[in-house]
Amino acid sequence: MSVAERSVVCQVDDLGPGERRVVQAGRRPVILCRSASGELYAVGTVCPHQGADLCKGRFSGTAVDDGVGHYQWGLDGEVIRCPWHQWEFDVKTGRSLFGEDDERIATYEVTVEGSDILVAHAPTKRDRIS
Amino acid sequence: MWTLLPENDNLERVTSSVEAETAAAPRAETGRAPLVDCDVHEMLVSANQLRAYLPQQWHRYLDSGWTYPFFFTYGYPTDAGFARVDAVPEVGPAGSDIALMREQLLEPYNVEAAILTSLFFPGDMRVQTEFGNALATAYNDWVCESWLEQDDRFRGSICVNASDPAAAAREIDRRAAHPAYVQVILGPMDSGYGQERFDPIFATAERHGLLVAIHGSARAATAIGYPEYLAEWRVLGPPQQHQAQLVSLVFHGVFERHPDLRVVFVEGGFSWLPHVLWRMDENYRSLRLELPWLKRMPRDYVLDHVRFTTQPMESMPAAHFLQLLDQIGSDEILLHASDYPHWDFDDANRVLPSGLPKDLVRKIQYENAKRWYRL
Repeated sequence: MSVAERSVVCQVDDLGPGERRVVQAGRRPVILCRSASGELYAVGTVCPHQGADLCKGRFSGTAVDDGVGHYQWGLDGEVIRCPWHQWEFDVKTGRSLFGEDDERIATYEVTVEGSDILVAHAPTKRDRIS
Repeated sequence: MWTLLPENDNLERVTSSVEAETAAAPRAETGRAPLVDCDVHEMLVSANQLRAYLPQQWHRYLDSGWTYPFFFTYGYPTDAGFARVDAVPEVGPAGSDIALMREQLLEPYNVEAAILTSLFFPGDMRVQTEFGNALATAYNDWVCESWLEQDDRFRGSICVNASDPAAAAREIDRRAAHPAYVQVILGPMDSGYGQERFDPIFATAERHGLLVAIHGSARAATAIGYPEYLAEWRVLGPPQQHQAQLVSLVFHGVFERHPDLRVVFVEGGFSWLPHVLWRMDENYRSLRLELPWLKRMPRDYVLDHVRFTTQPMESMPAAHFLQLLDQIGSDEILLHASDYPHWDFDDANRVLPSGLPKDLVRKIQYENAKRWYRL
């Protein structure tokens, strides 16, 4: 399979800001997300912790650092949260918000051609971070 | 002592997302080895479901708005409160839908026996004594009819009002003949269950060959009271409750009074055991004259009389897990539990560190519970 293989998963109008949908990219289901600012991202559906189905999790923002004892809501439409243990992942990078770099979800390259949204069939390769 | 599987020279769990993506989806696994799940929460849709099982006197209490106290005092930052997001049925709280429980737990994990543990602890409800006793009886009637008699994979925990030990003993006597009951369950208590006033509960359970399970809840404080954050409470609360009750049972001589008693501590962790066992033994050596009724080292009472459920299990490498069992001194002390349908559910296919010997996994997930519960 070519690394560049990808397919049309839906139309740009199908997904508003802050929305996500599960689409099929080749053999794999992926979660296509549009952030509050309109960017498109695609991530895998399996939590690296105990394998829960991230399609059942919430896609939203979350609390971000604003100093001890203060709450600030941010990262709107950029966070997928596991339906079980509530692990949070940044859909832009696949990284966990708690910062352990080996606990990640897969990310898939998303491209737009005309009104088509295309998602790569293979996850984005990246260097192992020790 | 157990050793790691020889072919496993990498103790890391499957952490790369690409590997995780291609790992077998746990829910699709077929032919899974049978499992005993020692902590499954059946839930009422509302307290009103108990009306049919309560004498007239108590209907007034329901009419005037009484509902059983929610077991948790903190607000939940989670997406579905105490539930797994995917375990909330269309009607009622997570754990109230038997069909969904079959679909999400009993079938996919090949559960041979699911021990129902409720979250209904009249001894911890601060209600009138007689009302608490009636609630325990009503709850047991409801569980028998709605759960235990609906699926023979369910095993029951006898609900009692632990604040009235004599009444609790009568309730145990009333239920013991039902073959699905395997244990009596006790919730949090602000004093040690080793105290002699609780003895009727242990004596009656022992006489009927029933276990006593102790399950904490967030209605119990930590050593610094109720800390600010849920995350703080979750680190401290469950282990502290169980440590305190374990020491109480051992030092008060409950296992001398009841040599056939079997106890299981549910949902309060186990990785603290080496510390507490060493510390109990050390203090017994020095202060034996305060506890002259003990005939053996505290550790030996624990290993012979007590088991611990695994959930919510901390992630750790297999080598550390094996060291822990070695320090505890037993590979029979852990019993698998999922805590379905709660959000901190442990998936039997993924929760234990990878690289453990298959026979050990089978003990933890099946044989230890079969033997302890005599299933």
